[in-house]
Amino acid sequence: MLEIDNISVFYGVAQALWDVSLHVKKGEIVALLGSNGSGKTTTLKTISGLLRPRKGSILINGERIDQIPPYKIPFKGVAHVPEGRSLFPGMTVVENLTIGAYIPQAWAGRSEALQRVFSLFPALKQRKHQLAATLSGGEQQMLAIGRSLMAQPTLLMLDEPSLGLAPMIVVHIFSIIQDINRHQVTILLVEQNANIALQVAHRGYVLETGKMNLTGQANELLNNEHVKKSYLGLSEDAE
Amino acid sequence: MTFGLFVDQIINGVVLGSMYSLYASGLTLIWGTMKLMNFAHGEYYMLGGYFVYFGVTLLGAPPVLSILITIGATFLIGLVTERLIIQPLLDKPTWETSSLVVTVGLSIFLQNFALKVWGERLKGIPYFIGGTLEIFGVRVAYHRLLILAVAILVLSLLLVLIKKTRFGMALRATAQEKNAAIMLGINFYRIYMVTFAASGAMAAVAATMLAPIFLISPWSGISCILKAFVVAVLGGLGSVEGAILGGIVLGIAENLSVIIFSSEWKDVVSFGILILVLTFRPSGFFGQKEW
Repeated sequence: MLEIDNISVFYGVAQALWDVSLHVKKGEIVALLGSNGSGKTTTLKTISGLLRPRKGSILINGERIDQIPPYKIPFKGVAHVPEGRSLFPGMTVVENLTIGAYIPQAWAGRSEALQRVFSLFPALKQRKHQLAATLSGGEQQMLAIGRSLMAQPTLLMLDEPSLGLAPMIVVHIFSIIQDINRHQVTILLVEQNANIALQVAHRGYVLETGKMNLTGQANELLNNEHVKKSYLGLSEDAE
Repeated sequence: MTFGLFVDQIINGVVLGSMYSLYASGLTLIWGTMKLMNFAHGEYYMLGGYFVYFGVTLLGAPPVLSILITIGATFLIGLVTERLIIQPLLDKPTWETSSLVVTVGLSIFLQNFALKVWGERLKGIPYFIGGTLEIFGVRVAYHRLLILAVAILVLSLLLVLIKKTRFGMALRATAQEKNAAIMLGINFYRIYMVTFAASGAMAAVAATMLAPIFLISPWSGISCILKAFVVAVLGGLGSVEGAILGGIVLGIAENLSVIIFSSEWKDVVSFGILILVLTFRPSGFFGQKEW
């Protein structure tokens, strides 16, 4: 479904990604792991067209998308929940969700989609007419995920959904991510919390300082010594 | 000062203020959406005056048709100017300064274009409807009531557009979190073009309604942009509701000041208000604090 082939990405003169390749098959949950500044967010932004690769290509269902303007990417079935959620703070919960169905192919079915999002996140239904800025962190993350689902994507990209949330809420969000995946949505998940990400993912990739370092099945990565030591905090000298 | 004069001036203030609201909401909408201070905003008002003048005198068209032609023409000119001179600067890192320079340049260009093509002689048109309404001893010209009705109609349409429609939601989304809007498939270039053009057309509507009262000249736009700026800041830059309220407040304040001072002091009063607002409440009535 998604094929990234040897992309190199720069911020001005500073190179952020070196020949990164990655693929996601239909129906998978794939985790993209790495520490702060390793290039995970850069990878997602490049798929969304907010950044342009200087080299390499990105394909969705065999069609190149790395040269089209970013506002056309959602038409290809790709939705992106950005880091820090990026909600529309002065709009209500319902308005945030409704505008999520902006693309014509989703707009007609927006009221059914709204009901589906509310059944997935009942907490949002209770806060329907509240401004997004007044929600708690967990509710904001739910709203950001719900908004992206309104476009009825086939590929959902999530950037650090666990960021700043209490452990209980993280578990709740990740169980919903699995639910979404069961409803035929392929998922590319960027996470610093490698432990929980690898528990829900089928496969994983590890980015280190802009280079793809490791890849494998989720359970292989969970048992990999390097991953254990660097990302799971399981080595002897960990505090 | 008699009570009758006081009431008259309040009514005049509301009527004129409704026009301030109309052209200031365009200025504030452009700022709120594009973070652009459009110094050429007054020139769309000036063009509106000329277009309705030509419609009524040269074409001999009825006022309603002349007004519709004016709205269409200024909207089109707005689309073209945004596409040609604003859009190419959007993604450049120098946007904060280049956008100011380019709209000042556009303003000078359009003023001199009008001067060259249409001359410096002042132009005017007759009232769309004559006569005066008298209730409880207060006399109001029908034309003034028409002005108020048009302002209420256009501003209500604007608010419905912004609050209820798909386009309006996309506009607010772009204004609040541009990158997130892009990721939802919103083509912000198109949002900007329409916002810019609609704002110009609203200024032109105000010009058509005021054309029978204030004479039309290549410099008509200067008083428009200055008033619009005071009103937009008073209401809170970026807030359409603020601009509507601010326009009425400024209109009333100016007209009441005429009772106490002479009418030459009107602008002193409005800029006095601007200075007071900037000093004590720079976010205005409804402005966000962060900008």
